[in-house]
Amino acid sequence: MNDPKISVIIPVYKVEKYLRQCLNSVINQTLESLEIIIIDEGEQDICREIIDEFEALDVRIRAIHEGNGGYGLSVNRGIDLATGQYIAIVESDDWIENDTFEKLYEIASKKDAEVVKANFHNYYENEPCLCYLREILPVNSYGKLFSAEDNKSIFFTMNSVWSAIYKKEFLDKNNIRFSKIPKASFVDVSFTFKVWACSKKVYLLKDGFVHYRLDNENASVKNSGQVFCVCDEYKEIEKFLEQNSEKKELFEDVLFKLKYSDYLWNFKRVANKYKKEFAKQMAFEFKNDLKNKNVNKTLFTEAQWREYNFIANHPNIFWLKYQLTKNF
Amino acid sequence: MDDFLDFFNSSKAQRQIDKLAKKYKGKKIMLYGAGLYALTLIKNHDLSKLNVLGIADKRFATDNSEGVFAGLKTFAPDELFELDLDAIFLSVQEFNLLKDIIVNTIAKKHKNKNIKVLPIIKKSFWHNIIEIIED
Repeated sequence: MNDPKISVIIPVYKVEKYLRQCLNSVINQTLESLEIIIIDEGEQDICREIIDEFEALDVRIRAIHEGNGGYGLSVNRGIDLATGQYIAIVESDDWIENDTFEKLYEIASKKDAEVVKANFHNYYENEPCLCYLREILPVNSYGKLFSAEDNKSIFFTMNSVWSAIYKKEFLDKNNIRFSKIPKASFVDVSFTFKVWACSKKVYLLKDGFVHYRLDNENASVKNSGQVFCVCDEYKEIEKFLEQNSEKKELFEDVLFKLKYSDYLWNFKRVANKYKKEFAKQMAFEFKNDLKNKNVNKTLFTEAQWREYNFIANHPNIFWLKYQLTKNF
Repeated sequence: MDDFLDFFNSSKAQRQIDKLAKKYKGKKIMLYGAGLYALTLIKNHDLSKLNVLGIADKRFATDNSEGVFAGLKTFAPDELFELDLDAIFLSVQEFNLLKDIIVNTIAKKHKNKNIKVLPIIKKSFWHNIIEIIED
């Protein structure tokens, strides 16, 4: 294939119910200049047959059958293999509008953008009243090129690596890949941070193209046993900033605020039996950051800053208070 | 949906709704929060004794073309200011943050200065204690 405009990477894991809908939506794109790289994580289910069927049907599809190294390693493999000008990631339980890549590529090439990102639709198979456009992007940033240095609010939008396209050259030049920890979850945290920290030309679209499935019981976010993966992601971000002193100066304040928000989200997400242990981990890291690093409170509200310090100093009371007052 | 059903069952949700119906008899109620939590609640419980005028959500400010959610009329948050209301019942699970926001925005500017803002379902304090002991 000669210079595809977009390489679409589709990691596949336990999605036999949804895979056909996903692949049909990709092969029927109005932009035909695509390279479709399916990374099959090798589960013993019917996905392999579906992938073989689509591979025989469409010459643009290239399937890689790998062991289950997890989402991050699969996408990294896809990025390394990709020959397209831009990279897109499509989750194999989601589906996308037919003109998704035409619209995203049109803007990307016209503006020479490093990242073009759109909103997305919540999707429930049998509940149309819960399907709607989720506007997660900062409303004052549509329709113009900007850098994260100019507009730090982009860091605080919900991670959704699959509602964007990324210039391949930009990812390679800045060595941006997902965490290499096998079977890790939430690997989009450090990937997204690195993308924003390195980008000079971001373009946001108000429209939504991806239909983000929320009724997949196998979704990793529903695995309340993956307790400390999010901490590994922040270690990766800290390592990245240590290696880039210019970025550290610009974005370390973002790191501390994001860490607080994501850790709190994770604390609420994990099963009850892990919450106390995770509260202690939060305290350990927050206290360490307060003592040894230049934690800047400017991105926190007063209430958030109080809570941050409270967790750092009194994790057991924080945990108990949460347990006693949640939903009460 | 099953997670929320478990939550409603363990919280004795229907009993809480019936209690609210007695306390707010004849009062004009608005639900706030039109997500899976609200849908599960409405589909699996009898809210007919409550005088619910509709359901509001931030998302209806962007698109309110359907006009109906689970049989209830839908409203954008801005539309609530001028509505004749006695209470806003929060139909979300993590209601503490939303309660603060509604109290400081809609309730503050509402023409009824005594408008109440409260979760439609909450867990009992003792239920939380039992969960801690079990863990």
